[in-house]
Amino acid sequence: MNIINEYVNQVFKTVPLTEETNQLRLDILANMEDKYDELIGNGASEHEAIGVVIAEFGNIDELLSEMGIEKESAETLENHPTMEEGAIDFFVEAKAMIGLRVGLGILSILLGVGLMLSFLSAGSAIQANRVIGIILLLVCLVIGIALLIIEGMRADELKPYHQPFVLLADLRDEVEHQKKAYKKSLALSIVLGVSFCILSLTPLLVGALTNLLSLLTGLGLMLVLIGVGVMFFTYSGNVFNAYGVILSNGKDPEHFEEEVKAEARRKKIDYIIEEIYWPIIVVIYFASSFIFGGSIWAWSWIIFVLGGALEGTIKSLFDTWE
Amino acid sequence: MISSDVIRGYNDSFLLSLLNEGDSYGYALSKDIKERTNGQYLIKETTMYSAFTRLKKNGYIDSYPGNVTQGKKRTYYRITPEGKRYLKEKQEEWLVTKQVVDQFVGGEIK
Repeated sequence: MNIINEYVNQVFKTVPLTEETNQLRLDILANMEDKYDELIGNGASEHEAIGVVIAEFGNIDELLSEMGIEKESAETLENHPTMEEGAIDFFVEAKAMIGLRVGLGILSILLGVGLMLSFLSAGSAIQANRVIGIILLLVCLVIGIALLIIEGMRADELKPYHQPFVLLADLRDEVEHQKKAYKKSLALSIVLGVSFCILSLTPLLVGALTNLLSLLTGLGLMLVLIGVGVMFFTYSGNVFNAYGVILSNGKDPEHFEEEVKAEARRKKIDYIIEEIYWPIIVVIYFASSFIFGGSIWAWSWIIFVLGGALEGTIKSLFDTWE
Repeated sequence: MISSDVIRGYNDSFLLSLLNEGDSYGYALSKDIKERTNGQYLIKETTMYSAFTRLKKNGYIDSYPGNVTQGKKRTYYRITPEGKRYLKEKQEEWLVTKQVVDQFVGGEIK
């Protein structure tokens, strides 16, 4: 069965991907699988069945010319992967895991510092406490940094998702829907994260104002609470960001080349503005201020305000040129 | 088995006449063709889908997504009133064609 799937995919590889051709591929594949199942059911061997099914496939060129499809853009499409539902789900899950582990890494580091602080304050007179505190700090640091490094390396695997890829319209709708649905979770996560960060002040204040906690233990607890809060941000932020990445890099196959070109142009404009436009303004600012000197410093900074306004104008000019 | 060159012009009519009996989908149609001809004619996948494309373009058939069966969502086809008219024309044309061809090719081999 896999051979048939492979065969059809291979034949369709040179066919520009559209809703229509994708449906066609699925229909033909379903027919061939039905035919295969029936042949097997009638006692044919796997080899015979595959042979018959593939022999009865026909010639794809006949079909393409009838559909008025040319293979011209096949090359660009072959260079850009198509992301199907499984691939999209994988990316969102991977980003969620990254968010979680990065959050855990940060939490671990903060926990280490927090533990060390509380051990130090628990009895700085006792030598053992100091040693235990420092050992705990080191262990937590190692775990935290290891988590961050591993996640940094895994992010490399997700590179294909950060380049343009083909995303079919109905899958795009689905992702947009999911993104919208996730907004509520994101808002809740942010509220929780912020709450933890604000709450984290409590142990510090308790430590500073009462005798219930030492100041250092209060500080340590504050760090841990901040770590928990940060986890909410990194987790939900990464998931939400994943949807954004998919929607901005996933292109409609019918306008694939145009969209990729338009994006390349936009990036070029951004580059010009960042690398040339703003440095020139900084140079003008310093040069003119130094040359004219004195009181001109009091208002020469206005050039930045003007520069900002002009940047918008330049960008919109480029946009209308397109 | 009949060579597909001879029969090329009739694929559209075969499919239309089958759809005239009721809506159907790709595999069922190709199986019907095979069974009714006792395996003497097989329509290839690409030939069948070329015919669907052509018939659709001319407004003789419609397609719609069917229910999921055995985990597969099939595209169903239905004949339109225009398709029925066209099929009738083709049937009349065939009667004449049959007579004409018979005049020359229909005799016994001497």
